[in-house]
Amino acid sequence: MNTLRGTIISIKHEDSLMLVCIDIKGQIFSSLILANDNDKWIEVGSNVDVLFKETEVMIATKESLVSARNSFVSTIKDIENGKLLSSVTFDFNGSEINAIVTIDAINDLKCNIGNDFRWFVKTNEVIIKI
Amino acid sequence: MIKIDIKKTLHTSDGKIILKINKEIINGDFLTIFGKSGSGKTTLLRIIAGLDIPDSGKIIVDNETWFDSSKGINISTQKRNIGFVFQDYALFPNMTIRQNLEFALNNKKNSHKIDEILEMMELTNLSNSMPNTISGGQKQRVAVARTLMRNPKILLLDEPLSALDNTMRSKLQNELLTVHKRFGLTSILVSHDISEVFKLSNRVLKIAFGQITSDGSPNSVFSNLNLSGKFKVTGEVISIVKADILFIVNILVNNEIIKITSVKKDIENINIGDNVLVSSKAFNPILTKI
Repeated sequence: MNTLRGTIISIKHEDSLMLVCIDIKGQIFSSLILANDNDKWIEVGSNVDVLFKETEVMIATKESLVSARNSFVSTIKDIENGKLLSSVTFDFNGSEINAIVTIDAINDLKCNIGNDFRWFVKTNEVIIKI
Repeated sequence: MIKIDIKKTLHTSDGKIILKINKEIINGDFLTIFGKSGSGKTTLLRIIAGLDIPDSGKIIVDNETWFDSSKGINISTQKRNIGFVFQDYALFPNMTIRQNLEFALNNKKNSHKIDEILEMMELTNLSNSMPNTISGGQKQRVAVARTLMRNPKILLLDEPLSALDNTMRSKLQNELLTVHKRFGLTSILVSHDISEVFKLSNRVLKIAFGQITSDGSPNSVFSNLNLSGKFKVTGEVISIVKADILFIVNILVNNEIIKITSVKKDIENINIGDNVLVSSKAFNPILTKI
């Protein structure tokens, strides 16, 4: 899974939903969480890990507008191809982000090592952990 | 409320250890004592039952002193209001199922209670059978039924299901939960099966070398972390199979295999037979009416 370390900077509540914003090296990540009593550890100022699976990360050209709140432009550091799938590694401010997408997508988008592309993940795919 | 504050020196295969426990157990709890063999977990259960005597300390159950070394009090096992279920059933081989239950009954006039419990535990058809003619799961059900004859307040379970296959185990786990709730028991289970702990207990005491190393809900004790995923199950890794650049991890969860995709670096420390926590967000699963 992709793991990034950050600090919770804000929490918005609506009924049992919580939208948690996390500062990761100056970039803001959002995680949508179903809140319950066991989640009292989620509070502003807590240092947390932000987790999301490689298979939930999407890639778009850097000019694209997307609805995903966690959307960043990074340089492709490595591409590892299988038969159907491809693992694309981005350099995100010194941390590695992995996206697993189909090889067809990589070919259509013309992704190559050294290019800048947008990678993104929806708030409801992001887990936070202390 | 069960208040335990005891000390006992044990001689185990790892050498001498001091079992030192100071805990309170709330009425109605289903508590698991979890630890490796030789950690002192069975001894703790036997001390509560009065089958082992601590070197020093007190055991107080609902303001009644069961044991107090300073006052020389040690209530006998028969007078402690407990039921004890062992791994090896401990049924009388020369008595029928019904006679096994009858033997445990304090007031012989209460024979309608036998019928009631036989029915509840689905044993009515077997009431005239001898223990050696019934299956392991049925024997354990008889053992549980027998403890219920004495209206125990506390049910002590020493790895009662570890000799059973997975299907029977799962069925009996459900029955233990039903019995626990229906009779308003406080249950204390010794187990080293993590999925069983999650299914049955609301509190876990993890014990190592005679000392409690953690105390809390199964989630807080076993996941060792706070994780926001709402869909959490534990299981045992059965196999890991390569699928293109991914790996499919097959995990046994409550008798069903679930499949999780993973990348190589996430499974580097995961081996077949390991217990794992599977978590997902509440947003991902899709519901379909069946």
